[in-house]
Amino acid sequence: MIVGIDLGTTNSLVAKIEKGKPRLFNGETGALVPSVVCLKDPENPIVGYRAKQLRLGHPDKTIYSAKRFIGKGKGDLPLDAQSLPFDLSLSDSHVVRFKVGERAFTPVEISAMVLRELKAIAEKQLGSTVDKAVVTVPAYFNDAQRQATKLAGELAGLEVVRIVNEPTAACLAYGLEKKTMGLVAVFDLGGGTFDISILRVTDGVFEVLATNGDTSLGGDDFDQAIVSALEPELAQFWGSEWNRKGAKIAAIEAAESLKKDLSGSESAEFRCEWNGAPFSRTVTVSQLESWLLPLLKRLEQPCLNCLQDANLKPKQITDVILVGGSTRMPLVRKRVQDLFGREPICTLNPDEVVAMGAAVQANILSGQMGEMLLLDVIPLSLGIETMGGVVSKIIHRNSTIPVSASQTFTTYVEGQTSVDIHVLQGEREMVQDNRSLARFKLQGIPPLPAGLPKIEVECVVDANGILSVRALELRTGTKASVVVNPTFGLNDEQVEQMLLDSFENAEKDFEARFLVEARTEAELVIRATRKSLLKGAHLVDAEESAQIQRHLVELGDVMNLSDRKEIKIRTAALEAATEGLARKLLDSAVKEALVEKQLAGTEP
Amino acid sequence: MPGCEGCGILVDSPFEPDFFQLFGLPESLEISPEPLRETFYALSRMTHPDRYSHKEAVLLLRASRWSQHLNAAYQTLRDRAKRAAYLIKRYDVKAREGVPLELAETYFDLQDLLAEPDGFSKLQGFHQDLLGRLQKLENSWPTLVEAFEGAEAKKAVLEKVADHLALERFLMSMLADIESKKGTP
Repeated sequence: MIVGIDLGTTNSLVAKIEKGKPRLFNGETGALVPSVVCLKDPENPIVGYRAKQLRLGHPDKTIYSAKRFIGKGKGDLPLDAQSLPFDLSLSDSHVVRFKVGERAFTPVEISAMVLRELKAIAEKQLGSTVDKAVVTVPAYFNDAQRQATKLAGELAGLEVVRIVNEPTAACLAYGLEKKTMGLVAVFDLGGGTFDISILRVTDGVFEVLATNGDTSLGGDDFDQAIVSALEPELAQFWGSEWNRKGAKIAAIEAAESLKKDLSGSESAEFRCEWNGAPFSRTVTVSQLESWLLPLLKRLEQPCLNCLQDANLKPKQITDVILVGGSTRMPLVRKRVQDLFGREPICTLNPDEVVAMGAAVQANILSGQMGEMLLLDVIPLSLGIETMGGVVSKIIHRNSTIPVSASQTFTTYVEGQTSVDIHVLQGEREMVQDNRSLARFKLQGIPPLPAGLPKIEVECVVDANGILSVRALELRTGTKASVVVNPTFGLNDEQVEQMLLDSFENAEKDFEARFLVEARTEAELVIRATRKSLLKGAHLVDAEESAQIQRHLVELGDVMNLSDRKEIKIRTAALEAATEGLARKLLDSAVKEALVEKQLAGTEP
Repeated sequence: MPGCEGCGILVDSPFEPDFFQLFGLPESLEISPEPLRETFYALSRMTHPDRYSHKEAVLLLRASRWSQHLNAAYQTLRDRAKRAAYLIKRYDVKAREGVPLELAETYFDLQDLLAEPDGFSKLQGFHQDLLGRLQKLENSWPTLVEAFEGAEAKKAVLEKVADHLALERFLMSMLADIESKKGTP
């Protein structure tokens, strides 16, 4: 059974399609489950509505907004991280952890607790086990954030069969109801993130044309801005009590209500009680607007960039869909209307529409959705580091996934036998301005004059937007590969440890990981062999060639089995069979007088 | 073609498929976008991994490979410059690098002008001149397209196409230089 899950910054939901209609599963207080975890007893985490209630009494033991930290390192924390009522532990490496008493929890572990709660809610109502899920993420999440989300699913005992971008999911939900066609802009402002996506919707095909956003802009920031604006008054009113964590939380909750109240009228009361002393003050819409203006302005540029990438003018857009609780604010709606020159639509509940879309995708993956098909994109470009710290892009942003692309590089130093491959994600020219995803080494390059080796680096992004990278020395078939593991501060052992610690499915998850690795390796060897055969057809006789072909077919056959040992054996056999060819290729390479462009650099 | 969807049989993809063949199109410098998109959608329905995730692993694997080729092919064929670059590479025509000869003088004049603190007023005329050249260049494109269709020796036409693209690229980048200068008076 596959369910659809919207793992939100503030609230999360779980849904599935029943009889062609989305059904949301209700928790204690409805479908919205607050993404809040109270760890006053770390062995028995309390999740959701009850955790939110406990927040005032246990501010330092109740974690919320964990999504804002997921897949992030110490270097890219949200700006207001220090003003949160719970402690961050940043001591070892650059892992972010939430400190709760003696223990420390990663954002992945906290998210896993929320996911486990959602799984339980769905299971209780279905009366059957739920072991697979489609989980949504902001479209502008990078590879590390996606990997971390997947890992959270694994920890919760859910196989994440697909990561879907939130605005895309919302569009699917509208598509299911046949509420929209043509060129659709999805404006998604949630609790912690902002996404804008433009899709072409035609006869059941949902083609994402472009996506853009800001992963640290959302309703939480609005609340924070309101509290900041009122801080002098609050500090004066409560004196030293204002420095207490509970007071800050009370103020943030009051800001949340104020936002809601001001959505319906021109002025409202900011009411906040702490330690028996009630504070109250009238706020008008125009005051609110002036406090939020810097944040509202930040909504603009991503929209313009997205239109430009899609090669569209605002007036070409057929419909603008609103998603995310923060789009309930008239101030936000007005911005959207000004930007696109049309009234946005929100006929489906903006809090629920993403989970409904996730459920639609879950159904598509179960083969039950007829003609519906989603063609999604990768939000950020992928490239590798070349000489001088310059990034050479291999896959450009907004490429439809799955996608693979390769580029050829060469060596810089005479006799160089290894190269470092540094994989980066982002739009900037220089390495230091982009996000580092992985580093690996291609070793065993035969010692050749500088510029002679031909090193092909291939990036493959799967349908989840998750990346693997392979490097191949084309003249000899030397290879290296990496499934880009989350470099959000955890090394492989730590990830393994977390999986071991997770009470459910640890063994199964391990096996799945190893199987993926074995398959990746096998794919790489197959690719290397096919390349070698193309290049060196004249170097092998009919018998040797037939031998290699036979091993190719055998490996191809076992690759789809779930027996990783068998895959490894066949991979080794194929490698052995191609040894002679590799040697001959090397000999002929050395003979080639061809000198190519110097560098660990690009060949455009 | 990838195979038959109805019976769920998806054959393995060729190692490096020809993008034009994949779309069932003859080699051409110009392709009309709507039919191309329709074909892309139709082929995506046959090969997207989402349509195989509930089926055997072997089909899913093949679908992923087909889909990767298909997406790469669509990205290339839908874009005029990428499409031309693809043909240029296939026919082993050398890609042009550096400043095109006929633009060299203009290019260096512009660099001087951009460096001058009071060169701003002269930039206007320069801008007009470059726009005129770009327009003329664009007007000559259909001739190349036609020449390629009929040509026996396609490589010779692609040599001209490579020159054309290099010139166009440079004119555009010079125009962009002027625009950005204008933006910061």
